[in-house]
Amino acid sequence: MNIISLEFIIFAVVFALVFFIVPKKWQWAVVLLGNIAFYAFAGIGYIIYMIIISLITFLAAIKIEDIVNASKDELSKAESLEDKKAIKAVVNQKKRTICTWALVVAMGIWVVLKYTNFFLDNVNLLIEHLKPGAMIGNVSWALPLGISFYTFHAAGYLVDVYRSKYPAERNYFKYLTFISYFPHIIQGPFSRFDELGVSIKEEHKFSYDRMCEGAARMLIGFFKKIVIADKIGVAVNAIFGNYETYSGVYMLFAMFAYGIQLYADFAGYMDIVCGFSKILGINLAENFKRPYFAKTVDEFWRRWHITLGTWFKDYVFYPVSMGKTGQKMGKWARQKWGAKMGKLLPGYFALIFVWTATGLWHGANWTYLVWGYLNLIVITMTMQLTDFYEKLKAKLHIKSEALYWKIICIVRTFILVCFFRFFSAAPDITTAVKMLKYTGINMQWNVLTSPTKLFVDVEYIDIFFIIIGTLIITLIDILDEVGVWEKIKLRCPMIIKNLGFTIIIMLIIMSLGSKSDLMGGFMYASF
Amino acid sequence: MEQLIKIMSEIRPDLDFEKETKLIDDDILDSFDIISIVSEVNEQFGIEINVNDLLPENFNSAAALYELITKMLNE
Repeated sequence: MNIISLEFIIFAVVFALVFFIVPKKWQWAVVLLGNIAFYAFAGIGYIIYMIIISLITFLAAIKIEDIVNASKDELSKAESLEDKKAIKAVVNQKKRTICTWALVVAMGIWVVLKYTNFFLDNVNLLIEHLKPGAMIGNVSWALPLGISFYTFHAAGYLVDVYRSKYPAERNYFKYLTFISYFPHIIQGPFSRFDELGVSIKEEHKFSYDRMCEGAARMLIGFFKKIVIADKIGVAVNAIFGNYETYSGVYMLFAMFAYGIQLYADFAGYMDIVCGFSKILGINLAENFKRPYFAKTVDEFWRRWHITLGTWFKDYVFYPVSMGKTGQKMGKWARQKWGAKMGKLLPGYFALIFVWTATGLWHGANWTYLVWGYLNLIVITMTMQLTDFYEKLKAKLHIKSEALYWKIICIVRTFILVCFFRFFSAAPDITTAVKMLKYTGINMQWNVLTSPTKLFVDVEYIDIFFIIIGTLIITLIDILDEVGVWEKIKLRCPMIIKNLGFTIIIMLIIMSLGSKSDLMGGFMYASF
Repeated sequence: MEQLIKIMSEIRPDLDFEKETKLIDDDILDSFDIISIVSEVNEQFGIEINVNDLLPENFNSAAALYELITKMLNE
């Protein structure tokens, strides 16, 4: 079911009504039924993968907890420190075995479904060189809706129980409600069981104020998606799809427009699902913190898709950097190059895994790996050269806190992240390189005399919507960044608020009737 | 405790670890600081803080981390 549809609005209203009508102790069951109904629109058959992955992780978590509980009795009876250590070693070994096997099977299902064709394509490339004509055919299975998200939710839950961060859930259906929660299943955010799982299980009273707040946020989300993302996306597709014709300035424009489209699309979705969850009283983790105000690429990733970053930090970065190899590297670097490298090298080592995983998570394609490694290179270079930058800034009398310097850093970061996306936007590396080449040749500067031509295939009225929409969202983000947006929302007279929302609703309705519109699903859903 | 404060101050000389109580909650320590502190603490105290112990309540202050170290030394 497309979230930008009347179908979804009706579904959401009915869902919320039933949620607040039933006895509060059964609200979680309404959520579960709603999740199943939502999933059924995409093909109920695919739910089998979710059931298998959730069952594996659910049972493994219980088994791990049972082993720990059973060992407590043994530990209390142990007579010496050595005995205690021996019992703990056995328990840890058992826990590790169960956790590892459960993760291998659960994530293995996802890996096979998502990466088989990528693997076969690369094998075919090799075969082509060795024995031309002998190719292995691709598989034709479809990727089940949300599998990348629910597999990570389930894996995170199991590892948390393994780490004794919180107790295992003993009711499978309550666990399944968390895993399948429809607002986060299509494109996140990545949720944690001790936050969202607990929030879903709580009893929720209807609140008029919360409903208004949630509905307002949903409205902002629809606005970002319908008025900005779907319209500017028409120009992006037209230019990127014909880069040989639209070279130079057009490509530069499309590069930045794609950045705006991605943000409006993804943040718009988050506003809709967080707003809907807010109406229910369920807390979803925030995924954005005005990412285009980041002053470095590293900071950008702490503001963009925040929950993906924290997931990789908790379950990839720390285990790798604190593992035996990472720690040995740190000691070796400290002895050889001093404290600074001793601190940085284990982290760099772990970041290679994080960015390989981040790249591949976004797509089974070499383009995403290159995109990931470009981010990695800039992040590690920035860290490595911090002292050099500081000295250079001191020499040039640049103050980090000066507004002009902050603006330069923000613009530089925006250009960098947009530039990297040439690789995630292209279907293959060759095309990405060609797109880059055509950005630098045949500049077509004359188009700047009538800039509306840059909005290729977009109608004049839609150019107006895109500009007005982008200005409104930018203004809100600026006010939020400087910390006054929340105060404005609180103190603003009701008549002004109503006027603002009327304008937003009118812009949404008016822009729905225009011709240049992608009217597609959300971009991150394909990841 | 003195030894721990010394370790932490060498990694982040800009912070007063005797006063800070929200090192994780307020994002004062970054992930690189944390892995360095853990590495040094493990080596100098002869313990094994691992990824399972990376909870905000163990790293929000030097006192909290010291409590974890003491607990591990006594186990």
